[in-house]
Amino acid sequence: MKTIKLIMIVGVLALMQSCYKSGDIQLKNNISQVKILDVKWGDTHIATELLPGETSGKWKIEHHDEKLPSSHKISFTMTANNKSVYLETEEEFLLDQDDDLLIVLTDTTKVKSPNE
Amino acid sequence: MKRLLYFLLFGLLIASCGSDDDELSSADRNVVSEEGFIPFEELLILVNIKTSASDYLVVKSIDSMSIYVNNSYWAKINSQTLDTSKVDKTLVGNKFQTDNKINYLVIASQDIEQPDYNTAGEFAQYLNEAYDLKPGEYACLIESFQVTFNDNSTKKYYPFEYKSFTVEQNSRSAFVGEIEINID
Repeated sequence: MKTIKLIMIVGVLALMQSCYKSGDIQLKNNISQVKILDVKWGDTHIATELLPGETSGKWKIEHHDEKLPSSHKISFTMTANNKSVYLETEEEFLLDQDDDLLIVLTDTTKVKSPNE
Repeated sequence: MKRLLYFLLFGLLIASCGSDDDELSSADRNVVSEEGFIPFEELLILVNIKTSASDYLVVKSIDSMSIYVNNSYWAKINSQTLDTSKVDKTLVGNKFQTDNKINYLVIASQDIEQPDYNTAGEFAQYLNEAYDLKPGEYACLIESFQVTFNDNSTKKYYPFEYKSFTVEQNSRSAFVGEIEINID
């Protein structure tokens, strides 16, 4: 009897666990002639430094990191010529469970400085 | 009456704070340079204009001076203005001139196109366009300028005068020196 109860509890726990699926996110820097540093999707760090044309590794967003689906702006520091500026995208990027999201930042991506 | 005066003073204070901020573009407000890095900002040039072998032109300022560095456009700028009422001068035709040399000071910051800064590409362009002159020798070209004479007529000149100058390590400006231009 005890064993059946234990199996049922483990089963329910496993079922609950399977309800929360993760999502993958990665980002490509297609902005001309600049490096981007400290790239975040909301508060989640997804890349430390990306050269022009470089794509970050896949970053898995687990349910304990963020409840999916979730939508956030990308924030980053753009740097070139010994000068830097902190920017965030105007658009929010939606990541759902089981998604494999590739965000590409280009010259035409709308951005703003958060203190504007 | 006193209350009105306080309101006026308060209003002026707010207005002055706002206007300072509005003059800066988004990039100027938010871009920082790396620590310890001194960005190159301006060229200092002294220009005198000869009207004959021994005479110099007297005007308030030399206007719309087009300056190039190593054949890259740098700026189009007016010289600092002079109070010509204190200069011992004579009127010859429509020009004031003097036999004492007069130098006009030109402080030339680089003209950088200021886009609207709505896209990542516009910010990238701003960061890359700031023409940081690395230490070394450069050629400064005065391509053209304009002067306004005593009768308010204006004339544009194209002297194409070159002068070399040196940029030192970690300096925010470079002194190009004195450039003599003949308009005779």
